Amino acid sequence: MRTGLVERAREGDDVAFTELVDLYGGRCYAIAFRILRDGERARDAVQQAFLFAWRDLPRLRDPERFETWLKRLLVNACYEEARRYRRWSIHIRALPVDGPGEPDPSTRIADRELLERAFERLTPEHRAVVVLHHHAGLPLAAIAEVVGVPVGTVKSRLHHATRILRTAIIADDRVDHPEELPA
Amino acid sequence: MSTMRDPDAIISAWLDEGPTDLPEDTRHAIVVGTRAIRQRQPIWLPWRHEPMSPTFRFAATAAVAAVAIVALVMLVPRSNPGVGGPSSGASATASPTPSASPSPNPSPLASAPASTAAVTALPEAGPAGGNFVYPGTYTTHFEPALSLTVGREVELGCAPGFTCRGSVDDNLPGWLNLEFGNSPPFDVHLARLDKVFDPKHSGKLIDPPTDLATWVATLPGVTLITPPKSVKVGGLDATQFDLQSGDKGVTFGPIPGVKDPAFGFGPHQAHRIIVVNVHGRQIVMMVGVVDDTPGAVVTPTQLQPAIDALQPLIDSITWQ
Repeated sequence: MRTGLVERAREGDDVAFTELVDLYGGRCYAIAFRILRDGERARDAVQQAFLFAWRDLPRLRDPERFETWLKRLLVNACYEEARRYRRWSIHIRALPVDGPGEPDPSTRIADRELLERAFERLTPEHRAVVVLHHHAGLPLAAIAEVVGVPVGTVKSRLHHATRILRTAIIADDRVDHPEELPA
Repeated sequence: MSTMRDPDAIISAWLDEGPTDLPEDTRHAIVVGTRAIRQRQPIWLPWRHEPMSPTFRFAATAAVAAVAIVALVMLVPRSNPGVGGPSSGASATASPTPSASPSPNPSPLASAPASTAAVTALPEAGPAGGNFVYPGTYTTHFEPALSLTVGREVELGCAPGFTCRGSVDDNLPGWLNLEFGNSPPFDVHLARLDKVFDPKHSGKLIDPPTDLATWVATLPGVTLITPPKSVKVGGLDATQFDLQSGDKGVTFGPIPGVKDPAFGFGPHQAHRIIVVNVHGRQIVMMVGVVDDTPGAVVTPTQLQPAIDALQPLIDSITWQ
């Protein structure tokens, strides 16, 4: 069914494309929001990705690859939004929790603040890998395809980014549980 | 005894927080934008310079012009900042305050003052995205190196649901192509011509003549609309004139590093041409109107708004 929609949209059927927006829009917004940590910019990135997708859809040879291709457009749009935003401000707003994704009770307020601060230190390229892995659940090979780099680079980025995030949490735990500090 | 928690689980839980539904205003903006943007076709036929039969050459030229224009015209979704949730503090919507421009033709979209002193890299072109351009001052991949400022050009045809923006169609060492507006779009090209086609021998390349401006202005099939005059581009002497092609397209020469297309334009098109020698390298700048209608004619009258709109961008060029 989805392949059929892509094929129709590729032929210029905007109704079919709207159905694709309805199918993938939420997922794209969720990813963009988590990479950019800002609803306004996430909306711009999603909008940009879908408009690029519509424009270049006739050039997509394999309709089966639509979702991967769309995610690649989305991640590139997020990079661009992040770069554009950095020109104006180096401040990154804290994540406002809205919509159906309620705060997870297992994530303490302190954790959120720590993670936000640690996440701010990551480049958009590192953030994308973290979000695609930890949130979207993509395997490394799929992430490599989406972000357009070798699997080894994905591994490296994920390792680096995860280490920074882990360090923030572990450091906080050690403050909470000093008995576990190394001798 | 307490135990340390699983950091990966905490990271995943934290990332799972947040919205998962596309906001309705964004969905609406996409749907509206889809209707305003034409799709790129899967082929790109360049202005070819290999020897061809006259019949095929004519057909190919017509096809090239149509396809090229179709491809170009679809690039520019436009925006009204009031609709569709554009960025707030980060919005690139140009300042409404006009600035003095050295343009000889005062533009209704006079260049906005640079909203930031920062000079950033122009986005890459390409189907993978990242080729929208917002107001700001940019360096490019073009050689010789330059910087330019995009200002209120982005407001051309800026439609509801979008953040005003232009498009980067090509950002290469030999070719820079920016497009603005959509009814119709206006575009500006910069190409470095290391070689030109010999008008006397089809397909043969020769060094560009010292007086490239006169060479271009006197190419076969070209009609001058305005006579050459001296201008300055980035502080360097340049020659500017407007011309119109006849039944055949006009090709100047290959673009360095680009197999196709060659640098030129299709039949019955009016363009402003500016030729500037930058440290011994011949640069041809071209301002035009993108019209994807088959057999479209762009008249000098239709060209003038494009010149008025894009002159501030040309005036902003600084050679590095």
